[in-house]
Formats: sequence, structure tokens, C-alpha cells
Amino acid sequence: MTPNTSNQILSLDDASVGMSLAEPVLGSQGEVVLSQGITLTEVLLNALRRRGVMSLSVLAPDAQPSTEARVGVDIKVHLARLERLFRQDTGQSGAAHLRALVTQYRMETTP
Amino acid sequence: MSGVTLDAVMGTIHKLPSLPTVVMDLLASLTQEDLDIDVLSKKITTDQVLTAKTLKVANSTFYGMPRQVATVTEAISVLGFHTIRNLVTTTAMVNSMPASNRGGFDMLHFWRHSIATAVCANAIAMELGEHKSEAYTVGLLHDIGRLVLATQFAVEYDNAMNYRAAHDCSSAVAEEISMALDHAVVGEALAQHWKFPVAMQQAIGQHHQTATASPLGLVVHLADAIAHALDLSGNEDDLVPPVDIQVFTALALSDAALLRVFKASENDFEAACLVLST
Repeated sequence: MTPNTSNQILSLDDASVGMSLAEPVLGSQGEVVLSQGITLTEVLLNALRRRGVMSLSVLAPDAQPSTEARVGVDIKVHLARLERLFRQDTGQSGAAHLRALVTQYRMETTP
Repeated sequence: MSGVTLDAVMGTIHKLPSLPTVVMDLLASLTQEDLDIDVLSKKITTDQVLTAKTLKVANSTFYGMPRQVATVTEAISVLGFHTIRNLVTTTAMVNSMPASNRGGFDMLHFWRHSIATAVCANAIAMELGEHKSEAYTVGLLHDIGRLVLATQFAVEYDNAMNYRAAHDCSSAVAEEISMALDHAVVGEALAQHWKFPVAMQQAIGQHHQTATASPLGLVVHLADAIAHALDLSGNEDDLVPPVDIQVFTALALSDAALLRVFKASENDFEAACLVLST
């Protein structure tokens, strides 16, 4: 967890895709339904809605990178990571094809 | 170099704990055409620990169920037999195999990569409309030979992992050079000992040998590479292994189909990994 930042309790309606959980979401019997640190996605938000979860604790906005900063940074981070993952495959045609497709996938799915 | 002979491996395989009966039944069901789901769900229920863990995972938000389920039969009716069979198999495997955290071998990374390959092989099978029942399990167990080597030949495997770290090569290359053995061969021997269907044994044994692999072997070869490329294991030093370009044409998977496979794999992965924290 990032130090010196406060967490924020939000109603489920105010929570949005990309936010990170500061604390686990618990079910009616106290069971963990989503772990701390998970980044919220549309699927997860819908699942929480169906479960009747009312609120959750997310990292405060100052602990979350701004959307604008995140867009540029995320894709750069992804591309650098792909460079590292495919570090042994220079010129190998199967790996090159896979790398091109995963790169396309990251470009299309990174917000 | 300290080689490990296949004979020595066979000797230790016989000493490994046998698979839980319910897993044997579920594996046998993979190739059964007239499947009796009621009988199978009763068999799962006889293993109370397995049932409790399965229900706990099935009830987590990741599976998006509209309500809590209390029995295996209910879980099957909501999530489908295919999902529950994969969930039970994963839970049983993770809990019944020996563990090792020596040297360069990390159990969490091992199982996360195994589960990633399983969900990915499953997604490919769904696109192909073939191997739908067995792809997940073969993906899950494709590297099981590594676990045998790491737990039963710990000193030799430490050397292999040291070699891997020093030369930044794949595990298979490090094993071959430092132990004169490849985990795929060991995995095939274990699958044979466990009396897996022959096609599944071979696919585990062939996941690096695309020239002679069956279509199921090719599915696992590709799923393994995609799991590494999507960076799912959480291993900082992860490395995409060589991929045979022929596999894309042999499986007739279009680029659009592969993009759907990536998405489905990422969507299914965290839910499938809940087994590891239960």
C-alpha cells in the first residue's frame, strides 16, 4: 500500500473501472469476496452489484494515477514489459507473430 | 552437470502420493461420452475438504453468481459441469501435489503459470470447437514434470535453476543442459503412471516438440507461449519460449480468434487462481 495516502469509502455507484481496492470486500458472512489490491473492472462491478454490495474502500484519488497520466504510462509500461518477455526471440517468426498480436491487444485494451 | 536418468525419475514417480479418487473419476470423465453428472457430483461430495474449497471459490464474486450456492449439484446447475470439473481438478491438484520453494523454483509462480496455460488452452479449444473437455486439464498439468524434478531431485534442480538464472534461458533448456532431461518427458511419465487418457499423456510430453505433436499438443504449445506473453504468472523474470510459426496455420486460428483468446484468458484467469488462496 502507498504510504501517506488515505483510503476512500465509496458507494458502489460511485466506484468506477480502474480503481484499486484499498481493503477487501466482504460478503454477508464475513467471507472475502474480492481481495485488497484488485483493480475494478466492469465484470467485477456488475458482480458486486448483483451481490448487493453497497460500498467499498478504494485507494484515494491522490494514490491513483490520473487518467491522463495513466494512459501514456500504461501503454509504455506494457510495451517495455513485452520487450522484456520476448527478449530471447529476436527474429524467431512464431514469437514475432505472437508478439505483434499481443502488442495490438495491449494497444486496443489499454484505456 | 549431474544428469538424472529417466529410470531414477520412474522410481520416484511410483513413490508420489496417488491422485485423489475423485480426480481419477473426473479425468476418466474427460473422454466419456455418456456422462452421468449426478453420479460425478455425488463422488465430488464424498470428499468433504474438496467440496468445501470448491464451494468457497464458486461463491466468490469472480464467478459472478447471482446467489450463494450450498451444494455441488447447485454449483453445477449455475456454473455448468465444465467449469466445476475444472475447478475441482485444479483444487485437488494444487492440494495433493508435493510443494517446493527451494532455490530458483517458486511454487506460486509455478501454479499461476499452470492455471494461466489451462485457461488459455481452454479458450483456444472453445475457438476451435475441439478438445473442449480435456484442453484445460492438459494445460494445467503441462509442466507437472517440473514439480516432480523440483521436489524429488531438489539438488539437481537447484543447479538447473542456477544455470537458468545465470544464462537467462528457458527452464527446458536449463534442464536439458544441466540434468540431461526435459520436464515434458517427466510429465508424460507421470501422466502415464496416473493412467491419463493416452492423448493427454502425449500432449503433455509433446508440448515442446511441435513437429511430432498431436493437435492437442499444439494447443498446449501455443497456450503455454500465450500464458507467458500475457505475463500472467507474476514472475518478474518470465520469458516467452520459442513458438513454432506452423502452429498458427496448423490450428487455423485467425488473428481475430487469437485476440479473443487473449481476452478470454485474462477474464478467466484471476477467478481460476482463487483456488491458490483458499
